[in-house]
Amino acid sequence: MSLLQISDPTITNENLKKFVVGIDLGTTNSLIASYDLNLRIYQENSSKLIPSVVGIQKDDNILVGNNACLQSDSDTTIIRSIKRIMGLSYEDINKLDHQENFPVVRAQNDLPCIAVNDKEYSAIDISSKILSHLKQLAESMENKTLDGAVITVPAYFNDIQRQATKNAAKLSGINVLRLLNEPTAAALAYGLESNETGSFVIYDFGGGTFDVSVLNLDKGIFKVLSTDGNTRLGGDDIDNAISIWLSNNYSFMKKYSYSEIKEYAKSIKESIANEESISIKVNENPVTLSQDQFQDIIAPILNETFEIVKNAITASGLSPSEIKNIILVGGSTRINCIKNLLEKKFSCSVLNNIDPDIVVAHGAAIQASLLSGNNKDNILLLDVLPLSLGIETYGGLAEKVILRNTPIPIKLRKTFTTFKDGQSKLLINVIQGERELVDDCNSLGSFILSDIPSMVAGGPRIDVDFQIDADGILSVSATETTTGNTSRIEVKPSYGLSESDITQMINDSNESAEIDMNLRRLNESIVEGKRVVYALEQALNNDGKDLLSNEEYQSIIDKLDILKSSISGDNSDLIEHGIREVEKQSEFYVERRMNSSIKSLIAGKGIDDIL
Amino acid sequence: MDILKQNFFELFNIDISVDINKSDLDEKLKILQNNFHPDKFTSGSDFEKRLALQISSYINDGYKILGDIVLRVEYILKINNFNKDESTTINDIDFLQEQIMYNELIESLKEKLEDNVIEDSLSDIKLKLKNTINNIKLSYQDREFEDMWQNLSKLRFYINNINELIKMRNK
Repeated sequence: MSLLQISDPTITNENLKKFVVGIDLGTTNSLIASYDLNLRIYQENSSKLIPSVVGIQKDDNILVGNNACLQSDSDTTIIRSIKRIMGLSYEDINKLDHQENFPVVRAQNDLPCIAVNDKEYSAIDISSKILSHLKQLAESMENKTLDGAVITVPAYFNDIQRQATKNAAKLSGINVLRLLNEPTAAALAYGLESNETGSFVIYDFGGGTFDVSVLNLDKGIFKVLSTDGNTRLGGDDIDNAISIWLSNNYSFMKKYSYSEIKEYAKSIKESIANEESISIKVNENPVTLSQDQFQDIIAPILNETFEIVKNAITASGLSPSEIKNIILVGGSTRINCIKNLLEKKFSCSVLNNIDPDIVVAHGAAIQASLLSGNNKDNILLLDVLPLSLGIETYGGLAEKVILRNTPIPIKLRKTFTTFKDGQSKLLINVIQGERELVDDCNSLGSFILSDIPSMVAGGPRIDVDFQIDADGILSVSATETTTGNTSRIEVKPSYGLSESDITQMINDSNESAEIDMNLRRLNESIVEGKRVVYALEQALNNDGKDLLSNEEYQSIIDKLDILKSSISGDNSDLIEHGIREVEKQSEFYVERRMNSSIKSLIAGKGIDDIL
Repeated sequence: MDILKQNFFELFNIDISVDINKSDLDEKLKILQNNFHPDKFTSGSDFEKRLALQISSYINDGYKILGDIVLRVEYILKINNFNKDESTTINDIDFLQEQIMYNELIESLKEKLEDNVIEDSLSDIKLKLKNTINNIKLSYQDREFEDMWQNLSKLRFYINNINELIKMRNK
């Protein structure tokens, strides 16, 4: 219960503080960190970056992170870069330019799975192994159970990819406080520390992906104005470009395998930083590369990133001169000339004072702290929908319902009708993407509206509400307005897992790891119960007498007393029941509180009073 | 007072008007979202979360509509209960001729980009847009909703053309 957060977001009582973390679930590496006055990164083998690598041994034993990387025997199947196929269908994966190097098979529901030792693992399964590993790492170092996490996702992740990430977290027993766009997390890390105001470009150049976001930071509110990117552009491409240059210019390179050449390319990339030119010896053969040559080689790649930056700025509605800073994120931004070129091209200063590898996890940890109420800074992040949402209309055309870059959460209502007499069902295909044709967009799923009352064609009026929540995830509800019947909605995902599949998976995993579950549940319910009591008592002291009649006030106090006495016991069912009862009894109070708070917020105030 | 039953002007405490102060609107958005965004209710009850999601969505919807001149004028007509079938014909002959002229102009520019023609047309249409907005304001003062509605078509047309020309200019 967060009634208190309207008046006082501070949790003063240490015991009520929640253990929350930020997780940067990356394609190549992941990080987990918490933020409570200071940033704390949970390290594995004294390394902050934990490889997003899962190894499956012959006996189905799972290894994650550095341990998985150390396995070189052929008995272990190593799975890397699972993030690339998160939320993709089997067909999507076959369409990818670069095939990933793991054996993907087609499983139920067109869901792509990786087959290892006669077992099938979905991307969600593998991702949840990484998340479980991170969770255990943080829990063992803090000796506390995790209450919640903010997990970062690329800004261009669509609904299915976001849902898949959330499901992976659910499967590993993590309570997801929010999904946060990676560039936004980076801005949060910078914004909070420097308290900046203005518009910023986040230039996130990672190992395999490139992302840009244009954000506006003002008085604690972060607004994402636009996002753009390329999922197949990263440091890897730079290594490839240098490798090709090596092969073309040095005939002795023929003796080496491509992966060996790439290793040389990598070391050239890393050592050329500020040098005018560098020379290395490859088995007694000298290789020389000047800074100018290096920049020529990587120019096509960098120019592509600059083009995307330009598009993102145009989409934000700003002119380049309105951009205050460009913030660098991702390991590839260590290439020095990027900073200089960006400064020259967009004539603004470039910020890189936070380690580009940890800046995303840093921001996620701050957001987790803010959301849990541990942190009293009154900061709010206003995010936008990254990809337009639409429905399929006649002829396979996509009709946009909610345009990209619309601030979320948002609800939109569309009215549908039947085109046949007595029609009782209606199929709506929901899509996400910017293109005109449905085939060029992602289908999020088909919604079947059934139980439509029998009427003549065009008679029923079915209002369908598309609700996008703060994570950018869609839910749909429908009502037939002439009769007031709520139409039943069956959601058939285009591919992947339905809600019941996920529940089944979670149940399966719980059965295999039933340790101290009851004790843990009791502890959690006591903490939650105390929070509810604390919050509600604060609120009642504040305005309970003003907003409630004596009877109403007493009815809430009665339920509170029952809850209080249950907290001192050891029956978690009783406590949870008590919490539910209190919450139910105070619903009208909550509503009145929200409605009355708006009056004091802006009613009767001129703009001068507010500032 | 039920937040979700207020119209958007009431929600943002702004007088109903064709013009809007954008920085005032931005400021009000921040104040409202700072109090009703679901992020402020992550440890709340399901009921609180649901309510916050509804209210926050409603605020964002209002922000979108009040912040856009076309949507705002449509909304003013709506809250004044002025409804008109979209397919109703416009019998302003001058405007029809103007439409044909600009459509031809855009088509010819698509085939051959001429910077000075684009610039001239842009300043030309921008002036017309300004006049149209002024006319809409005057119509609203006199509560001539029919006039407002007629001018709304012009407003949409000019804005679409300006966007089209700006896209060409940026090429």
